[in-house]
Amino acid sequence: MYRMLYPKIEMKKILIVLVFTVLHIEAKEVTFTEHVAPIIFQNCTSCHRPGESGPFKLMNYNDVSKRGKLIARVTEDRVMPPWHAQKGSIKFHGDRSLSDTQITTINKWVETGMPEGDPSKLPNLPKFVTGWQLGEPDLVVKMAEPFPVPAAGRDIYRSFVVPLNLPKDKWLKAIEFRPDARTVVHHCLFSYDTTGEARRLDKREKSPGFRRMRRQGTGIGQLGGWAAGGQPNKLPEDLAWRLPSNADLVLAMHYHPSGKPEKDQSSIGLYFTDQPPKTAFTGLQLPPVFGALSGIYIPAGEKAYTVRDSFTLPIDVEAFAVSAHAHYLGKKLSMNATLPNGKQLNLLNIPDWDFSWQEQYHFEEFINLPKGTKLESTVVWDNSSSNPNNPSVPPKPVRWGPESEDEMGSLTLLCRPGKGESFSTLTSLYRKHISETGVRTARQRAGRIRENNIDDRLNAFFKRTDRNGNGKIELDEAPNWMKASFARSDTNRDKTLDFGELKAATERLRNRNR
Amino acid sequence: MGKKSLTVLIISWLAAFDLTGQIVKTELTIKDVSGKSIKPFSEAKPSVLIFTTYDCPVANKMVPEIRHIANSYQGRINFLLVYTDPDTSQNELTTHRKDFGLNEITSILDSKHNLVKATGAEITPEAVIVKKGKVLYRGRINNFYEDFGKPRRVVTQHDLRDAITAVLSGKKVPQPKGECIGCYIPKLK
Repeated sequence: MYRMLYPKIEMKKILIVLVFTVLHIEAKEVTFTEHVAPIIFQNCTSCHRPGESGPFKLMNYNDVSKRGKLIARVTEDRVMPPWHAQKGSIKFHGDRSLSDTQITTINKWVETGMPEGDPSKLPNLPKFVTGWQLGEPDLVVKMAEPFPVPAAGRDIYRSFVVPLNLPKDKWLKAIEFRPDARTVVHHCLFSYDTTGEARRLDKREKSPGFRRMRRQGTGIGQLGGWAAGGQPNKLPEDLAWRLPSNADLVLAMHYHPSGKPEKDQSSIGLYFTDQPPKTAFTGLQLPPVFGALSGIYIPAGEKAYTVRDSFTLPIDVEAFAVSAHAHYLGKKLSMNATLPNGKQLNLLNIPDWDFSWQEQYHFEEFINLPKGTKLESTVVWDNSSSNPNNPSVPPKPVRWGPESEDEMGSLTLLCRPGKGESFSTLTSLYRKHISETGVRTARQRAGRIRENNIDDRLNAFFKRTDRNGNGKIELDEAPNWMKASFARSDTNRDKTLDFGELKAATERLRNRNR
Repeated sequence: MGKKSLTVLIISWLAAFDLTGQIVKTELTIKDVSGKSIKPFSEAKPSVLIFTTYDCPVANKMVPEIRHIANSYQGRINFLLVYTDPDTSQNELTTHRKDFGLNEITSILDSKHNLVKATGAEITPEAVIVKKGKVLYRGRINNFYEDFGKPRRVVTQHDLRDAITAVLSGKKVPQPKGECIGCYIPKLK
């Protein structure tokens, strides 16, 4: 009975609030100076002003009224301001999303002809910091040379190594990124490298930068990232990254062609502290290794391929940030916590993932998650043709991989151990979770292979290898071990292998081995 | 949905499409950005107009396709780029045309919205095809933008190219298959 009543009461409450809101707005004219300017100045102008990422400025009545209809539409669609985390009980630092009331106000203003209103009511523009948002950095470095971005074509992913030449190990509080060619730089992920791998890869390629880091692990560490529209964050309280003296900074950049050729040579500011932190912190990534061990295989056309992972905390932790990562096909990403007392906390929910806006979401305050809390993450991919982000038309089966047209997917919770708790208990149990994930996937895969007959396996291999999906395996699609016998297997001499030819070759091989 | 709202929907739908088939004055004469007098609609060749502003990011991302269309139908169509923001300075215009490689394309600063009003264009980058004084096509260039903030990885429909090809071969002109996404052209004060 209670359950039946509860939603009704809620609905009534909501209706009353709505009616009052509408009446309140109806009661007087919505004007720019009194109602709209405060919303725009607080939430839009930090980027929409000269020298920042917004494509045009929104600083006065003329700027805003000229684009009123567009602003009404993109705010209603929640495309702007860019912020993809759904509003929940947890507050994020620097949340740029508008409230429903603010969106209604803008709409109402546009519908009623965008009156300017009493000029004396116009608020002052906020005092925007020009240049470095976190103040003068302790160290400023720059990409070694400009990287050319053409006018058109696919997005570009490029990594750059920036030597830091630190005199000694440093404690790093924050990194601030200042994009140079603002219309094309979309996001940048930072890491450090003490292995020399980045320098080697950089030297190997002629044009500036290199494709991507291959190695992970010892000597390489993630340092967060920047996305257009995002504000830099200092690590909270006394937390800091340890940056070894021999570390190079590595920038993994995502460029969007803008319609005109550009050259980018972005700058990075580093903020240090002399005070060593009292505790270390770590990232709990679910599923681990960006999903590499979860056996991700997304069939072509699959609308909601889902991977879930969970981890139960062995100690009390204090969480301070959460981030999500997936590639083009990512659709929904979320992380929930179930506390030992049964209370549910939604730590991050991105209902409409957009690869272009990678962001680290910092909680306004530390969140205490006691020992026994179950963290659960869900990643959903959409590999159907109705996903405009699908890089393949028609869709192709997609596996886990580092290229943007492969897929990854995971959520990471950044946390430190609670007071008096052991950091190593947390990290060793998390490492165990990583290896268990790998073992489970391997077992499942082995089971599947035993069940399938040989034709299915051959079919799957054929589809996987036929990357361009034309029903034939070209020489450059063939794995190395196949290349040696390619010409022999190509019985009709058309420089490709069709399924029949592949099957005949396999039969030959099996007969020979008997 | 009630009968009434359905009727309203149909009427508004008809109203939205009734600008195709609109008649424009072929004798209209305007000056292009270099100061040369041109008659945008008078030629025997069909006119293709693209409406833009120097700072609309959606329109700017479409520039490579705009240049591609101007080049591939060169000599067969009368191709015009129409800047619609009356606040555009001479310097902004010159810089934009140079940076985006648009110097070869006949461009007009339509400060009085003569062409906007004549064709019914509402959005940048919207395309209009006019032949013998009649609007035959008005709408998106292609399906690069599925929606605001949602560019496609792969363009799968080339609405404008298909329409131009049909006009040139005298076939029935296919109409846009989806909404034109971009910046709204503001009404003149």
